[in-house]
Amino acid sequence: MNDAFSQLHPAASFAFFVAVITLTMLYMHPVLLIISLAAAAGYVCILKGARHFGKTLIYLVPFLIFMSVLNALFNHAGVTPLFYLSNGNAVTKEALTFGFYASVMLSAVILWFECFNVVMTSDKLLCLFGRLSPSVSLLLSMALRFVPKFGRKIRSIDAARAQIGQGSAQGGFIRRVKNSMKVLSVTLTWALESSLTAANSMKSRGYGAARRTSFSLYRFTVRDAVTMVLCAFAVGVTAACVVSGGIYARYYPSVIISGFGGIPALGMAAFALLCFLPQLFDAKEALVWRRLRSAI
Amino acid sequence: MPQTVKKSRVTVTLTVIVLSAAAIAVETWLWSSRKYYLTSVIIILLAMLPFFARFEGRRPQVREIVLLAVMTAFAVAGRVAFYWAPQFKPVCAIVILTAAAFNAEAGFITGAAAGLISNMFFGQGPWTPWQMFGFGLVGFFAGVLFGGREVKTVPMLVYGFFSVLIIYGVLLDTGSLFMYSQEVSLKALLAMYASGFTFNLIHASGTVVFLLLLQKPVLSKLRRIKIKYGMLQ
Repeated sequence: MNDAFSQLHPAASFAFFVAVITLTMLYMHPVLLIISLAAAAGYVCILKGARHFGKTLIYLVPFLIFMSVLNALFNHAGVTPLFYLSNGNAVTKEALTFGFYASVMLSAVILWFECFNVVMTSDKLLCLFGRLSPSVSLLLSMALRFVPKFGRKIRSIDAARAQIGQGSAQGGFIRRVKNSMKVLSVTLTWALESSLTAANSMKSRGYGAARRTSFSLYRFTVRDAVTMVLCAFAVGVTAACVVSGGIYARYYPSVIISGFGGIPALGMAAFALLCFLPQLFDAKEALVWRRLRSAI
Repeated sequence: MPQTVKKSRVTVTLTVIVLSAAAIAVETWLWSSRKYYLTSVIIILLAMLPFFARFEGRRPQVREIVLLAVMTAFAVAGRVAFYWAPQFKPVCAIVILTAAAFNAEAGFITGAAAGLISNMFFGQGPWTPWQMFGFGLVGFFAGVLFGGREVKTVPMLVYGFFSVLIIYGVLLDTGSLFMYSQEVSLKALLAMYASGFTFNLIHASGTVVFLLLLQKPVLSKLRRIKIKYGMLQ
């Protein structure tokens, strides 16, 4: 993974994902949805590799087909019947079309969340919201750190108990459940005691006496500001084009999809700019790198 | 309760109601087709806000924060440990026990935090706010019913079963419908509840099993800690 976009300040990355996911869910226009899906797929390939994306497709494509069929079977709105089911309900062209685009929307959102999970690591989320709410973010960051810590402790207690024949994998079923509960119980006692000792120690070192500072690797620079302004600009232009009525999609009772001409094209271009921002960003970085290298 | 705290609570509650109403109004009038998912998530986030704001606002002791972090981590570790058993998870049981040992606020915070943190291991998605709110509410009502009182086993098991089946299950199924379908009707909702019923039943029974197993050790440990360190009274 060599992605410059994910090295932006958390605020810029977060703003990008909020913008892109919200707009994808908001406007059910085929062109916008396909732009979003393509961009999301491309970004997943950059972040996790084409092979991982191939694996995702294995469940995404059947899901896509399943959702469109399901909508057509259960939703009978629309004026163009294709054929009739045995119970007399019509399967309409509109329901099929809508189901298809709804599943495209959902796939795009799922893919964007895959990117979100790679880019927005837990430390970035904490850096972002830590200042907003210091107590809650302390709670979250401690809990996040306790999970692997408890895991290790559970394993070591279990290993010690296994030496006296009380391990979680020894004996019959009932015995094993009992032993496992004992291991958990010991771990909980230890966890509570040691964390409260830590709390006392924190208190005696002055926690809560002044505003808490927190370490983070991220600095908000010009390029983060530029990214956020670009996002806001693209969202504004897209929204303006949709509100002005140029980009319009309706599925019931009959399918009406409009979006030809200058203004809609502008809106779609702005949306594409937003969705492909990571790729554009990477391309720019690659270009700069090439130029720097050839100058040496 | 001091007058100012009461006042600010009323203000926060009113703000949330007004903003939720505004979100619904925007949904109905501004957008041509209904955006159930976006609107519902905005309302859920708004609804969670007062709980966190109140926790933050009363400047909790380090001990409380650390203790809730331990219980959150325990719930998350439980979800991770049982990753192979669909819906058979101890999260709700641990959240209910935390709420019973302390109070409704502790239950909500632990539940919501467990929802958020566990998805850092399993992957965040459109379902995260729903899970946070679901776990949070299960904990909140457990705290209202049992918080700080002598706990009787049977009522708690009954609560565990029905809270997971009804509060968490219905909330999450509604969320799934909003996520996966743009056509929301009573019929579609009922179909969704019917299809999710088996999973919710497993989840609810699992919660009862975990409550039975964990109730005694966890409650006695928390009580001991409470007495020893004199906290969250």
